[in-house]
Amino acid sequence: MKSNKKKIARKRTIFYLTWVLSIFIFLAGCGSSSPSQLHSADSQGTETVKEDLILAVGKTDIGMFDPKKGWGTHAQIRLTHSSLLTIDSELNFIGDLAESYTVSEDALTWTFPLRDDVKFSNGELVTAEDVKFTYEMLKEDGIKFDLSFVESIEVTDNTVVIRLLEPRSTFVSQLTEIGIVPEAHYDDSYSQNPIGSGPYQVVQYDDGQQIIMEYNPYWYGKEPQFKKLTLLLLEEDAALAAAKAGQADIVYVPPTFAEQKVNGMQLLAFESIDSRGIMLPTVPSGGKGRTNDKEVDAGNDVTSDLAIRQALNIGLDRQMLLDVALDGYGQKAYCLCDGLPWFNEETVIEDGDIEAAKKILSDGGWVDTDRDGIVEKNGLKAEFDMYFSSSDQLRSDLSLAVADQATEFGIKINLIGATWDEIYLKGKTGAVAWGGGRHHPHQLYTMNSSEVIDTGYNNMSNYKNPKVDEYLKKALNAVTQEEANKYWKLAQWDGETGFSGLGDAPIVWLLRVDHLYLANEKLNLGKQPIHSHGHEWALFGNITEWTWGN
Amino acid sequence: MPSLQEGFNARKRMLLLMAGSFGFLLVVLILSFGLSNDHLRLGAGGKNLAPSLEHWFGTDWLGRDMFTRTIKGLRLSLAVGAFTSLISVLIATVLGICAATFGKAVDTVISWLIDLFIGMPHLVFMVLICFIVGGGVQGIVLGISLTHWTALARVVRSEVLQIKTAEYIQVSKGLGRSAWFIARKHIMPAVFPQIMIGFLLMFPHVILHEAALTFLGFGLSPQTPAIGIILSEAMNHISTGKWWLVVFPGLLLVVVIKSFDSIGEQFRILMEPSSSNE
Repeated sequence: MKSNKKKIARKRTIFYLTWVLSIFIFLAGCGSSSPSQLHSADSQGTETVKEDLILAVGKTDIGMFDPKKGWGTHAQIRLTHSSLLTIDSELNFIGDLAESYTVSEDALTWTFPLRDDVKFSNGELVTAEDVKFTYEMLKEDGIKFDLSFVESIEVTDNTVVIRLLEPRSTFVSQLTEIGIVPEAHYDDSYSQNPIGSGPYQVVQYDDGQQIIMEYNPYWYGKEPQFKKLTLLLLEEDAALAAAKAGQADIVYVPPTFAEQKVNGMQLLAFESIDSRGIMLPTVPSGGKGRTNDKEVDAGNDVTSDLAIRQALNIGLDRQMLLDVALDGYGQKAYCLCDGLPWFNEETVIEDGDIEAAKKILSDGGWVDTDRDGIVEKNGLKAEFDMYFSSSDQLRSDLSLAVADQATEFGIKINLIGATWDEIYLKGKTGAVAWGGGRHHPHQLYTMNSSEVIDTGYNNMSNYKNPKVDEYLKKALNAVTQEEANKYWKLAQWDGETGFSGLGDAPIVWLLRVDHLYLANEKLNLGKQPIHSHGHEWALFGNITEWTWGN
Repeated sequence: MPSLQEGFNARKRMLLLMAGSFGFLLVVLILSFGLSNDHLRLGAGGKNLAPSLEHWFGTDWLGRDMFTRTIKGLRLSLAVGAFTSLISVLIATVLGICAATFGKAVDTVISWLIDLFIGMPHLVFMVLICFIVGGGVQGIVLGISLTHWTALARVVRSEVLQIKTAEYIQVSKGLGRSAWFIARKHIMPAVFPQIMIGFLLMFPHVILHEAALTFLGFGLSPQTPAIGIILSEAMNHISTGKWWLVVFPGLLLVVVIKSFDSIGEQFRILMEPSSSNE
């Protein structure tokens, strides 16, 4: 007994020692950070023109700087790269590398005369050959950017001519997303040593810690006021703490932090097409599929039942979700593209209708026979797992709110917080708190067409509807934007079927999230276009217009 | 009982303390069943309320009542604690007695096993097991119970070794009783008090580790009220000044652990009065 007690006593001593030690380390950490805080306050006071900005706008690790790894798929490229075209604050396509562009009558030949004064950050000219190289490299890779419809890329003088196999209505937006890389310096280690022709060049990237960018002296556009950007890759609460300590000039805040007051900072809210919804597998369990080139299990017996998906679409109260999870900082969403020219307004419904949801369920054979509040069909309970990114406060809150509301009409959702790697592995077997939203309709195709099942993380729900496929194909191959928009709308709902909540609802879209930032009062972010998915990079489209008023 | 002669007051105080701790735990348990799940529903109205008469522990950023969440979380802790301690004690008893009675070879193997398990850092080992099993409650139970039996197994082993040399065991052996009979009829009753105390003292330890594992987010859904989850979620909001999300659940966890600790300690002193002056 004595030995037992001694052992416990020793354990306790170690426990206390650990505590004291950890508190000491914690204090030491605080101590070392305060001088830098003083320093930043100093420099703010004495400088007349502020040239460096410290930002904490999110933790991002998508395809660092390499288009082949996905740099550009989340509107990231504006800081570091330039592209053939870009968009202005009214979402018009304007030239970037290309001085202008012309499209032939049959929409198969695209001609881009290039500017001749554009240089990479190492001083070398950006040539038409680099453009050709970038596009051909991505076409061959075919994973992050689908360019399979490109027939040939020809270079004459300083003009790029791209010929397509078939008309492609979303090609124009891809032209704004693909950052041009230098043929001479591009290899597999490009991420470590990225050379681009954007207004900034990456001088330091510490994986998961920070990105430091400096002004690219060869930049051909308007010279930005800020010559150095330090992007701190902080968790949301750490970012808020940094803002409170005066260590950051602009930070992203989730809606739960929106009511926080920080001295000298103001809350900026930007409307976005950044949508959130629930991705629901549409095939029964037991199958296999591929996500990001890994073989994964696919299918879910509950969510593959149409009644379940439709009940969620009509039963969930979007306004309530907005109020609970977003503190009202957002808009309701019924599709991935609400408010954009290709949105079918017929899909807007009266939601939060629990009776209607119950009716859909009982018509579909789902009844609560054992009186436990959850409906069953043939002995199968209406219960499924739903994954969400555990580092994302907003998705976590939204998932909790969705699960809470779903119990009201008899669907039980078990939430699982996970990393994105785990989510991609398990995502085809359960629901996922999904997100998306771009300045172009291409995602409608990648999320709903059966042609792209098993590539990347496209069409995670393995949704297949021949009619929708046909509309999507027609929209994609449309010669004019008007024609394309007509088919995008039909694919959502044609009166009988579609991928929207009225139809098959492979993804039940719920909300559009306002992007919220706490920014220094003196910082002027210019006129921001409506934000696309990804609060980390959506800000930087007009970086050269940012100013600091003293 | 010898303690009767040593001093009635000390014993009385002990019993009072024990009764107090028991009472507190009982109240927590009863409350955890009595409180309605409706308090856990999300609501836009009652978000971020500071503690008040209506919401003793305040509400969180989604409008859930923190008192209900905390109490229900403690119930999970207690259930996991009881179940896990039981498994641990079972493993410890069986292995401890086997090591001491079934000869040198078995003893060597089991001692080696104990050393192996003690040698590995608890938390890392638990996380590992939890991960392999696939998380969730069963992952936590297995993870903790497979790592917490070692100290008790050693105690049981040495106790049994000590008893084994006692005369009545020798007599029993001389009478031709089997090792199994001796283990069951002679040794078990003698080491039972040790096991009981081991069980009670393991409880607070196990609850702390359960909180640690759920804090790290091993497989429990965020809907499940669990102390660790409550604390780790509150971490994200502490910077916004919502102190009540951390203070009350943390405090209650400490009180519950201390209650168990004192029950175990008092029980030990009652059973072994000779050690009460240590």
